[in-house]
Amino acid sequence: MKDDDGRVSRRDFMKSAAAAGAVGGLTLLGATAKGQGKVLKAGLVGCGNRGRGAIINHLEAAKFLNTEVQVVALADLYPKPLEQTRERLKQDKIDVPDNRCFAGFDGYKKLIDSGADVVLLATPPVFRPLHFETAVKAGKHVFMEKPVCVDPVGGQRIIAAGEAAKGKGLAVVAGTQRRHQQVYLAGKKLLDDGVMGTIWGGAVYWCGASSWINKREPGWSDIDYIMKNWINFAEMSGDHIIEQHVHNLDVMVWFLGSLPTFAVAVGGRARRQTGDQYDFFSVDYNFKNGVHVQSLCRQVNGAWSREGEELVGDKGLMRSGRIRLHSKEKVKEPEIPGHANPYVQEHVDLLDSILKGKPLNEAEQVANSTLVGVMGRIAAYTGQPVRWTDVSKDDGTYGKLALKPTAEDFETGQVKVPPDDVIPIPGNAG
Amino acid sequence: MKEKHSGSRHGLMKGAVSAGAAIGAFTILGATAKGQGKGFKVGLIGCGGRGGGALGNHMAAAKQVGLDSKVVATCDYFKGKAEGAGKKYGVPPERCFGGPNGYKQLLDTDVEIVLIATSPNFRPVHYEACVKAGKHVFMEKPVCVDPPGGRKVIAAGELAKAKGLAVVAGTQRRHQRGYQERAFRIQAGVEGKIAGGRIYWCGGALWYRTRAEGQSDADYLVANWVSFTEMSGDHIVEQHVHNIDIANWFIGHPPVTAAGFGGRARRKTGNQFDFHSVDFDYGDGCHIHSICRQINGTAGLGGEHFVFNPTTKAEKPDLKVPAFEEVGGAYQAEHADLLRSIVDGKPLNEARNVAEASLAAVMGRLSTYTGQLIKWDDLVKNEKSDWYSFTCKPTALDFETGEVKAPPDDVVAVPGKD
Repeated sequence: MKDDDGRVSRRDFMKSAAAAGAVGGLTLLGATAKGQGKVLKAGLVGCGNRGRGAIINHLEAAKFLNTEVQVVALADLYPKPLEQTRERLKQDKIDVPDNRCFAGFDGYKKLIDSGADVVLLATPPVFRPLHFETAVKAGKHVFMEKPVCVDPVGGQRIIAAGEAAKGKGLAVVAGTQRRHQQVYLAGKKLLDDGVMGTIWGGAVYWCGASSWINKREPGWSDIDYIMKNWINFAEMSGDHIIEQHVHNLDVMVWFLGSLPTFAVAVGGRARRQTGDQYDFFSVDYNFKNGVHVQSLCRQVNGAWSREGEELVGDKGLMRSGRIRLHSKEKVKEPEIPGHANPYVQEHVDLLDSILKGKPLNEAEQVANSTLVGVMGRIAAYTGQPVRWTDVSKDDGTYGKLALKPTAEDFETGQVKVPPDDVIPIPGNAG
Repeated sequence: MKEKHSGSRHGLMKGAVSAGAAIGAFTILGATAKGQGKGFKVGLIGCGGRGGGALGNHMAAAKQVGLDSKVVATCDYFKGKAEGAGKKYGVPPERCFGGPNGYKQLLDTDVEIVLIATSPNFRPVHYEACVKAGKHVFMEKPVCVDPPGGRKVIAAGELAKAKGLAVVAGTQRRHQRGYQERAFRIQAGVEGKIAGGRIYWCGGALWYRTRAEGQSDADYLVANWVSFTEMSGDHIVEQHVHNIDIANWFIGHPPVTAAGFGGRARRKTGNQFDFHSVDFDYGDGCHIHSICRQINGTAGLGGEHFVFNPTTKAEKPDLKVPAFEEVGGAYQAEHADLLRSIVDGKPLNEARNVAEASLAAVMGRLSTYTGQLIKWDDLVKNEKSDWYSFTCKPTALDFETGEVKAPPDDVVAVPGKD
């Protein structure tokens, strides 16, 4: 702990919080004033690889800001990842005591009640809406991993809870880290400055290798199996068009500055093992003014790979953040301050916004990008075009679609695993 | 033979004379001078539904432009079909040829214009034979199923040019007034350069035939050709080529690369996919997204949609759109344009256009089947590339020599590896 640095930050924080008059900042002031120290307290829900990574990034961000964060609690369904995360934190001389490590499906509630100021949500996406709602209700700032839902109902819940967070002055940052990545921020600034002109089309890609698999072992319950193999079930992950490709879809809507009006898609399963997901999707996202962006995502070994985004404008091309002018003239890239690692910078921005009493709120943004993925997935699964309003509005065609098992089903134990290798087939045999 | 068509005859002679170098037209002049009438002797190779349709369209077009053409020979793999088609036009049975080599007999007759409407795998060999025999050609799309086939059509097209022979392809949108006007405006720079877009052919399943008891491999493949990649090129080639041709036409060149996905959801026989979705990269950031699907109960979507970069508009575009003539629909117009071009001694030559559209579709299919990015240059230029020589088996020549083994039904390409 660096007291000096801490004090400086604290002073800054008090000053700016007071100046901003922000409710979130004041809440926090209250908390710190109650003798909780000059530190923000963080709790992590979901101690898998990404969760562990997120909490380490969070600590790194605090260091970068010369502020202090204390990890006060951990939650996971299973003791093993909890223990692994504890061990990892010990390397940084952080000890989370037994009575603050919560296992089980209600662990997140206990964690939220344990006095954390900032809650990091990194469970499989199916749980995100319920966990986020609960965190906001309890007045917590939130960092949540992408994607944030697996179905239209979940997306709408995130947006509603995000509004509630706004009302309470709570910060929400999502794990779509390109929004905090220097190369993308520089590109977006150039776009906003008119350097590349209006965007007329393009393609976004996440074509790579297959993901990990955990095959069912004897003695595993349905819950055990679907939790350990969550990345292969659409009900848990949303399918990879959402779970992974959401990053590129997010860049697409961010740079275009609008959401697609409808999607036409194909997809299928060539080589996937276990679960019920596709291993490739190709979507035609239609935007206003006749703009089309093709999204291609694939998880098949031995196939062509490309990850990134390519958008074409009047005057230039954007390739994964970098702008190249049609004229071949060199573009001077603007300097973007901050941490070079976007996974850290997203936490820097979160913490900074809390400390300054100007809470960031990315809930709607990440929910929209996730729902864009949901649109594409439904279009591919059904062979029908899907409009934005079909998923974003509760009275839309798919507005009330909630995949089973839901997060709530896990808490009541009503979980039945969908059969492995049974996938949606568009159209009819006719 | 009707005297009132004599006006056209004059036109024919005048045009041919003024063009001078148009060997093809002279040939015809010779033929007509021999008292065969003021029209062309027409032959049909491939007497299926489209062949019969094309012949009907051709004869209507001939009448329209004032020619008294006559069907003088027919040919089909199944002789009965050739006879059926021939009967309709009074072709004597001895001029209705069957079998995989029947087309050679047809070319040995005094036929002047040959319509080719066999399944696409035969097109390169049949077209090349027609050109070598000095025939004008109408050929249905697509014109190949693999890169060597596409290149053969391009080469034969060049030979046709040198010989003054006309060739028009069944990509009939090129003869449809709405498309012609749009192409004219785009080429004039009215809207600017194409910055991106999408092309669709999404509809229901096509017909298919199951294998009959005791049917030979060759007979089964020919009968059920629209379900086998080796015969049709897969539906991205066989059907969607129309839309890909529009993209090539409007943009002005074929795509640089293709990266696509596809699969088989509900198809019942053969070895084709029933959907493909390809990112055709035309360079300079211009992506055209192609989607084609043949699955019942899915959304029916078609056509081409482009978006333009308005900063590249021509300052003073030529807005005098020519009066494109389209009588009796595009399927008739393509034949009328073919005939007029012959009569005028300015033979149309669409071999390259249709070969490039077919090759672009093949490029898309190679990508969806393998999961790899496929480059245009590897199909047409880089002789060392595996794709350059990639050949679908059985080939057209295998049918002629009788060495045909049908690929197994329902065994489809799987991209990538486990």
